[in-house]
Amino acid sequence: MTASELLEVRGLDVEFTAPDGAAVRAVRDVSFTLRRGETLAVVGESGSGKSTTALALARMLPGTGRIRAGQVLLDGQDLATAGPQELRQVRGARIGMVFQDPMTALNPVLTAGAHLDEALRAHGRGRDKAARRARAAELLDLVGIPDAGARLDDHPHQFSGGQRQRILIAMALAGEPDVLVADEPTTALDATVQDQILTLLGDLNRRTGTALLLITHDMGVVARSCARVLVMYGGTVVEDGPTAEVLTRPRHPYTAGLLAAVPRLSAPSGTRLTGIPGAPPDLARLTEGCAFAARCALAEDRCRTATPPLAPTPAVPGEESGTVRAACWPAAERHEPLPAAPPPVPIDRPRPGAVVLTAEKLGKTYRGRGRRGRTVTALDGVSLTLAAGETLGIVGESGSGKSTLARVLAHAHPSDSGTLRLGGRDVTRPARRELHTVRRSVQMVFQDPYASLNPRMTAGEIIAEPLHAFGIGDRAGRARRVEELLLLVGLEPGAAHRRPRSFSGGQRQRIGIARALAPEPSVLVCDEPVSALDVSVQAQIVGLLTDLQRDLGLALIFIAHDLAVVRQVSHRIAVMHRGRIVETGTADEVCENPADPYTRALLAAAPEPVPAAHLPRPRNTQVPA
Amino acid sequence: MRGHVLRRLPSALLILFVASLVIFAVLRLVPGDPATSLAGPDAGPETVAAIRERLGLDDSLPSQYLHWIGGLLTGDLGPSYAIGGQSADLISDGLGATVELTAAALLFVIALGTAFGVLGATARRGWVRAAVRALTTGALAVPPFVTGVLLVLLFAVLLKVLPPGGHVSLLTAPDLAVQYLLLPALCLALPSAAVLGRYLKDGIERALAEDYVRTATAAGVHPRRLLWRHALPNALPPAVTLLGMQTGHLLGGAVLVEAIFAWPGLGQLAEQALTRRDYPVVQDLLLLLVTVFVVVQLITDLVYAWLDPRIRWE
Repeated sequence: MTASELLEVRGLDVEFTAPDGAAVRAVRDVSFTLRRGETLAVVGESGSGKSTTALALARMLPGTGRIRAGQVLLDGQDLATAGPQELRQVRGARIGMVFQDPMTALNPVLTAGAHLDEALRAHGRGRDKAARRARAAELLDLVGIPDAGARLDDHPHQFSGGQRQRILIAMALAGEPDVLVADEPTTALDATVQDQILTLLGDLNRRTGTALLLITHDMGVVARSCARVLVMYGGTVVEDGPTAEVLTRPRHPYTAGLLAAVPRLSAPSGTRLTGIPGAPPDLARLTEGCAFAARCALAEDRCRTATPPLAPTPAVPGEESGTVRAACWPAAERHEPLPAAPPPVPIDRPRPGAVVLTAEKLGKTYRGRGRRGRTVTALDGVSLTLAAGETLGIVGESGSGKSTLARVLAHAHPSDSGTLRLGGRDVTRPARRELHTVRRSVQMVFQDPYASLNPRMTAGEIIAEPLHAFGIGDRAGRARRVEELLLLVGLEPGAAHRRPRSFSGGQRQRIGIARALAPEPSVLVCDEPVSALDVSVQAQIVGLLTDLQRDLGLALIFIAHDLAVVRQVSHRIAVMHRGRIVETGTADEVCENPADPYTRALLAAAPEPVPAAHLPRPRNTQVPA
Repeated sequence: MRGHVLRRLPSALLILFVASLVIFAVLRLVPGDPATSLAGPDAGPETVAAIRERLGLDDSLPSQYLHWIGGLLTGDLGPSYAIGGQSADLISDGLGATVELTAAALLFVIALGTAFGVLGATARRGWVRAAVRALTTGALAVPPFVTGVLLVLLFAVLLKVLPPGGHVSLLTAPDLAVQYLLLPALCLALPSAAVLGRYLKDGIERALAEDYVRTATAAGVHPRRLLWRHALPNALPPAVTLLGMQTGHLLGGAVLVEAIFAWPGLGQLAEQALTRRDYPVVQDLLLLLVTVFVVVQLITDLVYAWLDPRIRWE
């Protein structure tokens, strides 16, 4: 180990015990090094072992997790075998950590100052309370909280999500660690806030020399903030190298597939995303061979029988810097880059037909509790039209009113003002009977495929529920319809008898879509239908929705915060900000020639999986206050 | 905070009014009559009628009710039918002893409950956690009249360290009073302490699994501090609500425990008054109970808000 190497992980193996007693090998033979002041990204989808690796570094594995083999050397000290006392001296003081969800990562009953005081005290920083308080204010100032001194006495709920993440970063920096491990630090945040936090992390790395280990699922975040990247799949490292190299000339087919599945803002409307077929491996049933072999188009016989080692790959034409290592048999012998991802395929979609849904000046205000409760205007004069066979994309950040609009359109909530027309009829305040038919023709697909399916019902019962509710068909007829719907969304008819637990995230979302389609709606309102899904799966679901629209002539409202996905699936886009539609136009027009400053800010903040050097002109835009 | 108390006042008064109606009605629905029980088994109908008239039981029910409430509002709790003297004097005689008992029991509930909760959630040795679980199950399952007898058997009869029953006022001889107080208070407290302990254990376990505990762990915070500064404060607010409700149990349970330990409190008075259909005393006692309960609920709300900074009663 050379002097500049700060952290060296050798052959790390982490195992969990499943409730049924089976051993789940979450991390297998992971090795990497992190130098002082370096920025390294660990990228992968859910179940790839990236977060487990991060937690294992400071021995913070939850539940039954344990390090089965390997070393975690921090300046030569092996943390894998360190005692509790030694670990406490490392946590915070040498390794600072920032986690994903800033809304739950701070103790609600303690003030920001108390959090920082605690972090400082844990490592004897600051002589006395007053000195620690002064340092805490300094730290809050460092991470960009305005009026830091005065805000020390505020509680977490008085800060915004982005500010809470800043406080967490300040806490992680309190012990002046050598390395900052950030596990999906911006996943729960809006794009513009994500942009600010990533900028902050980059600045801190440059100013304080703190090395950064960034765990993320987002290739755009990798491109934006790290010099080197480690790609994980099925609990093991499949590729590592300089970010600029890996993102432009990936050696491992999985990396290439992942990059191809990432929706890009530059892809025009009406094109199809390329997903990776199949689903990630079951970590409890791993066999010899490459974990990706089952989904890999280039897999050979040896890929299925022997596990490829992570080895340097031959130089390829155009290679600029450093070496790339890949755990892939064919890659070890290939002297040219993998074939570039095919350009986005245009899909043949019929022209939108007659207008089915019209909203005029919809308004909705929520009132806080109590007499002095704060009122929130969720919708402020929202007007839109939607035609049969058309997709209207709605983008905006949290709190912009997207979800309220979805619920008002689907008649889950009445609006306070404005009119809503469905197929020419005024359905703003339908009578009880009419409400029934309106609800039948406007159905919803929800964001969280885990929470939106009742775990005690079978897939068949879930899909048949709207049929019961609207009194459609008899027993046999409903069973036939369920079978039909399962096939329609790409699931086996046999899936009807299984419960949600036994499906993957993508399959659950298919069930959610089948449920929405059951009563044959004319309008489908999809509220962030792919946000909780991995990119490789996201592409499949987006493709499914597009196909269903083509075949059934559905009118789609597609709500998302990711502009790139929205552009690809939508005919038109409406941009929402603070309850109002600030801009609307065809999808390509809005993304290429945004008129509203807020749209420009959203576009600028969207991270693209392109290394900084390859980016076109930087777009300097500010979020309007 | 004052605003919150003021806002809650109308509903508190409404509860008291409805409670007074229910208490009044239920007593009259219970079979038996104060006059016949006063007159004794051998008395003739005219004696009974005379007593009825003297006690005002001939009046219409609404007028009896108004008479009672009117008395309460002017500070007159009325005379006792059967025991003799004024209801107010009887109640104030027993009140001190009962307050001593329930307050001591409440302290036991808090101390034992917290101990059960913390040990049950965090004890490193499995047998400690198992022992806490067994103890709380036992305390919940065995009724106070059995635990009372067991406690007396153990501490008074076998070990001879504590008196088996009786009462000495805390004001006259505190050291002796504490000895008399220990067993009844413990007996009264055990079931509530077990409930609180179970509740706190779950709360602490949940809190320890929260993200903010992970954040603090990552900052190098000592596990002891994780428990006392992070997990417990977050587990407390719901436990306080539970404690508020358990106070009602304590007041009710006091009746039984006072009987076991010959404790001269309101419980004994209530028992006497109820068996002899002493309407005014029973009515006053029950209404007092309801008042205490309403006040405890209000205090619970305020403590809750004090513990959880996200809640502010404006």
